[in-house]
Amino acid sequence: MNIVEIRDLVKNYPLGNTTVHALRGVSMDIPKGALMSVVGPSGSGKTTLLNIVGCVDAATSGSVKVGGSETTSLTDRELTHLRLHKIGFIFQTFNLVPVLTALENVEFPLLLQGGQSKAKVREKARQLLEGVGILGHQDHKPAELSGGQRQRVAIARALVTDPDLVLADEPTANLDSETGESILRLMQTMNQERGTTFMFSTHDSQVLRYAKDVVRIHDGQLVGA
Amino acid sequence: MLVWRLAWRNLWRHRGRSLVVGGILFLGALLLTFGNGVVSGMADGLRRQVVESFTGDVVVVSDKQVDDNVFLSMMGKEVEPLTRVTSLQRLVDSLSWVKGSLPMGKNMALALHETEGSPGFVFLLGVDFQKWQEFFPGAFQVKAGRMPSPGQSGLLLPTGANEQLYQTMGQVFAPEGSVDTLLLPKDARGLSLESLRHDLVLMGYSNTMSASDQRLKVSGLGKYSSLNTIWGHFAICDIESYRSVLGYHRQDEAAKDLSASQSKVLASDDLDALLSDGDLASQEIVGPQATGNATTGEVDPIWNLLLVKIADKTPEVAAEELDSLFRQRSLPARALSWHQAVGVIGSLALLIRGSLMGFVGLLFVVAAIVIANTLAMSAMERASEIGMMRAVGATRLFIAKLMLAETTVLAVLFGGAGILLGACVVAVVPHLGITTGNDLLQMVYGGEVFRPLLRPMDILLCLLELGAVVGLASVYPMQIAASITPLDAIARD
Repeated sequence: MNIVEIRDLVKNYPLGNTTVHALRGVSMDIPKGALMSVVGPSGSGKTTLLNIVGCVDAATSGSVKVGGSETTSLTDRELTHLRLHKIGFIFQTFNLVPVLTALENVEFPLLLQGGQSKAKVREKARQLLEGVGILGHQDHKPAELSGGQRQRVAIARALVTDPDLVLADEPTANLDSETGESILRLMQTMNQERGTTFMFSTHDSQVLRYAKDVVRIHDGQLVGA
Repeated sequence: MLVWRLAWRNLWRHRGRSLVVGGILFLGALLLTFGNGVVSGMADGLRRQVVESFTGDVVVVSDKQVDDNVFLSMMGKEVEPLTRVTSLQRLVDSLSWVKGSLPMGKNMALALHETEGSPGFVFLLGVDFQKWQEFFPGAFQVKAGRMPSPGQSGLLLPTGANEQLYQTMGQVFAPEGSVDTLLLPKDARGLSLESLRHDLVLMGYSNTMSASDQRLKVSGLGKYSSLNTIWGHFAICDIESYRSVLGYHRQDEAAKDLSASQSKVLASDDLDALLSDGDLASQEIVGPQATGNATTGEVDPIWNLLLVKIADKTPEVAAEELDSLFRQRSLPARALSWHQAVGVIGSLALLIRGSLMGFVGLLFVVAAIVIANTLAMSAMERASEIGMMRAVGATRLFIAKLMLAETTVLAVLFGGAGILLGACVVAVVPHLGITTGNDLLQMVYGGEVFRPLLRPMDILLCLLELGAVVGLASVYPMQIAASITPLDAIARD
């Protein structure tokens, strides 16, 4: 069963008087439980691909289905709902809410969802922080955490809503190699233990050994797996 | 709850910016509160100085009275005689929203020089002293001499009128007995007390052609409690003397003995036209049935004005309703609001009040623009953070609520403090004894002492104004923040 189905995806950006062809007819499927890496040099289109799959950018043409929903025809409100309930994000620069503690950052998507008791939300967030190994830092604000610790919080936040898909755009780019590897191992563990589908982009070939599937992209086109 | 927690912590995180916006809100709220206090104090002061000391809320005049400005018309143009005052007063007093009414005579009188000097003039009010004092308690402070007793004739001369008479006639008037020289015109303080005159010969300045000169004893010298520079030109005498001066009394008495046609002739305003056309008896005279009361057969004495104090209505609305009633009952009168009756003073009061409110409004708009601009810049600076929230599932509404919550917290803390301090300043200022002798400033001050005033309604108005500033200032930043997309966060990275 595929979590994501992409067909003939095209994305063009206007840039001055010219048009940048970021994606040129990409078609691919991401099966449930995948740990997929999108590899390519800078400017190859991997971030654009993740953005469109993650419903934060719109395609010029083509079709993208996430969890069975055709995202290209959804309204802003429906896309927001989809992101909240079915997709988790891990950003290159961690992007945590600076005024919330590690625990509160993990709770944040659940509180946006609503419908759960405060105790239940807290308990779930604690479990995830424990799972990513930083429960001891639950009361620290992002500024008080190291890069690796922040990315672990970001992973916990991405997983807290039990999404169908977690997207990570170069999650190790701002980490030293040792910390980066520990983050990848963590994602690998979460994939194996929870069955969460991960799709992450990287331009580091060392990272590839953690991926079950690898998709290569160059000049906006898939060039082989 | 999440929104408020985030808002509070964001404000604390960006303390510098919060202080700037908060400072503007504090200062704005302080000035709004103080401004409202001044406007309210002025309204209250005007009420005390004009409505409750001199004119009442509504002034009823004859339907023949053309000029609305019956108190302060230039050159003292005659105020038409008001007839059927008993019926008018009975009708007015029967209305539930009328607190009371007082008939009054008001016109101009020449002050005749008894030797060879130039005459002077005074605005003359004719009143029943006892009723006038009950209607306007404390409005006139007798500094020398005394107020005439009921049934006693006499003249109360304010210092302003005395000054004017001295300027034109070269004579100074005072009651018999000792007089503080400070009450006398500045240039006349060196005069010996023996040279002071204790009575004044007045002659009405009217179209009745029956005015006569009348010697009036100066009973008292004093000041109006407020706006003495303006009201101080109005000397007050008993109504009987007033009618004699204006010729009304003789007209009344004559009417008792004359036939109906003779009464008509005497009541006519246009005696020249009558006399020029030969046969007096054949003339169809159109004029007020000035003195007759068909129901009671009593002679209704002539006045010029009926002053009315009201409750629960604006003077304008009350005047309209009275007009309507007068028309229904064919009463020869019309009603004016006090603003209309005092002419330029009313306009000036409205102008000052309008200016103050305009200033407060301007402050309101400037504060809203500055705050909106600061918050919009703040929203743009936080595009990455807001975009990230949108990426993980925050709706546009959530982001808009967050911005509004941040502004609201600042408004409650800083705006609330501003209102509180403003209220304290308004409470303290009257006790500082900031005084002025300038009549224009007295209108702003609400009296001789600067007396801003805040009623619960004014505080509520301040809160509403603050809420409006916050609402207005939040719209643009909310739009900016809500339009930030998750892609903006990623693009910034």
